[in-house]
Amino acid sequence: MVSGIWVVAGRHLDTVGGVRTATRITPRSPLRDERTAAVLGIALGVTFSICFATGLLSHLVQDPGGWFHWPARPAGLYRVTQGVHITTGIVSIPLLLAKLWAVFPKLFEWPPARSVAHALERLALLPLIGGGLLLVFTGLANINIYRPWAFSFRPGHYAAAWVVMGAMAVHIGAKIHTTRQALGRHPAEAIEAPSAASPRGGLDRRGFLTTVFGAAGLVGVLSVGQTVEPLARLVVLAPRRPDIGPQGFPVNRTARSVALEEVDLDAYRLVIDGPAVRRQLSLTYADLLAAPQHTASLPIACVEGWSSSQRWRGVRVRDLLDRAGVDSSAESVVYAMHESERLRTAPLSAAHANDADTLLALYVNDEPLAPDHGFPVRLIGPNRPGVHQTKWVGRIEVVG
Amino acid sequence: MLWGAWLYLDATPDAERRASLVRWIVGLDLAHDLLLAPVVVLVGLGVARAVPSRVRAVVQACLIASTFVVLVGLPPLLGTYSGDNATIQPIAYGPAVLVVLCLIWGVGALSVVVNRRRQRREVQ
Repeated sequence: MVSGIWVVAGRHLDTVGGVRTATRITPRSPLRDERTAAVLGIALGVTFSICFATGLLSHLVQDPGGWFHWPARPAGLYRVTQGVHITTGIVSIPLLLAKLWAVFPKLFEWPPARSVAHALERLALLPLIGGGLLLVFTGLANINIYRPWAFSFRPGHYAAAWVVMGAMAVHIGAKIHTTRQALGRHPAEAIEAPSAASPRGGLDRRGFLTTVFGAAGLVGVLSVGQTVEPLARLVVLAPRRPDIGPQGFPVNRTARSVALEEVDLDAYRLVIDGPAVRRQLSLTYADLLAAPQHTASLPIACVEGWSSSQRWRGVRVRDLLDRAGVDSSAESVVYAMHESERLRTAPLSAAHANDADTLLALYVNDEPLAPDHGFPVRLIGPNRPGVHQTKWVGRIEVVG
Repeated sequence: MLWGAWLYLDATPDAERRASLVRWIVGLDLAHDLLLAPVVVLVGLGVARAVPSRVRAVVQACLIASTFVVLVGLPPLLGTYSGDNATIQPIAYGPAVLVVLCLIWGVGALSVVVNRRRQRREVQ
């Protein structure tokens, strides 16, 4: 009797919410339901894979771990990969929810497991669905600076990504046969029920998929302007606009949050030291102003997916390192002035230090840096994530 | 999958935080199955009953699109950030989202009108 209830529930739920994945003219065809699920599944496979690859890249850029070398060119590469990461994540939200809707009746499948393999396949859905929801939820919440969870965002999001990719591999393996069937054959019944005319007037499968893909595209377009600057006016759903902020672009950490709203310029020194310098340097603000200046147009590309290009002017890092007698193969660490340990240091590889556009910037768009943008000096260089464009630079330690 | 689990355990020595991640994964699964999906079913049934069949598909499409727009825009709409950084969630999201919703339903209404005209022409 229990199984009878499940069967009835399952049959009723094939018309969940009045939207059908199978028409009533013909007996319910498992191929039809599978078709919707298959199309959405493939779309999700694509978006999640791209999201994973770009996310993994971002992780490696921030935590290189010895073997990974992130180049200084092209200057806008990180801006593109991280923009793609956030956008594919956002676009996945409608696709994921629609997919879950399409397969919801299968939750009530009876018997729950036909074999051990089937049981494992179904169990793998828990990390897949829960993990997938976690990734998009934490991603969207994190870029909105909303973190209602106890775990640390980066380790949690990163580990969940691997878990989900593993579960997705299991899922694809389990479903590859059904998917091929569902997409390959055109069931004869299709001729009797042209998808345009659904007997009860609700959305049919084609209409449903069009709506979902259209909505996914729409939310993408309404968010992507946070990194694609010409589309900035279309930003309706994203938490940043690349043209809004002091001196015309956004701020991540404010000067107030690190107690650097006022900087005593008389006391300020930019120190260049470390085991690999031949001459230690201790430069005042006036020294920096007097040094040869170089201008570069470079983007700030935040890890949170927004980016904004500005015109920077300052002293070439390479010039200062030359003055300190530093070899061109040396690696350095850049330190911010503030006490806060979080995001205080950034690595500066030889490739980045040697690039002609890697500057210790004193001006942005012909104005001295605002306190929120790192007054008196910030590091700016091509192809660096925002967290590595250190603000309020106090010291460069050349380590070897 | 195991790599991910290992990564997480390695990076998070704090037992309470570890438990939090697992709670969130399970919790989101349950929230979908016990809250979100039933609500969608009920709304759908409501629409199926209350909305005349000739516009039902368009209404469903507009509802689905509207829901996704509002869902993705929920954090800025709710103003989840309340600190002193004015560049975070800097615009008036309510009115902006409202404009988008009006556009969605406007397109929907237009498609109903266009369809009806086309059907009338076919009958003639």
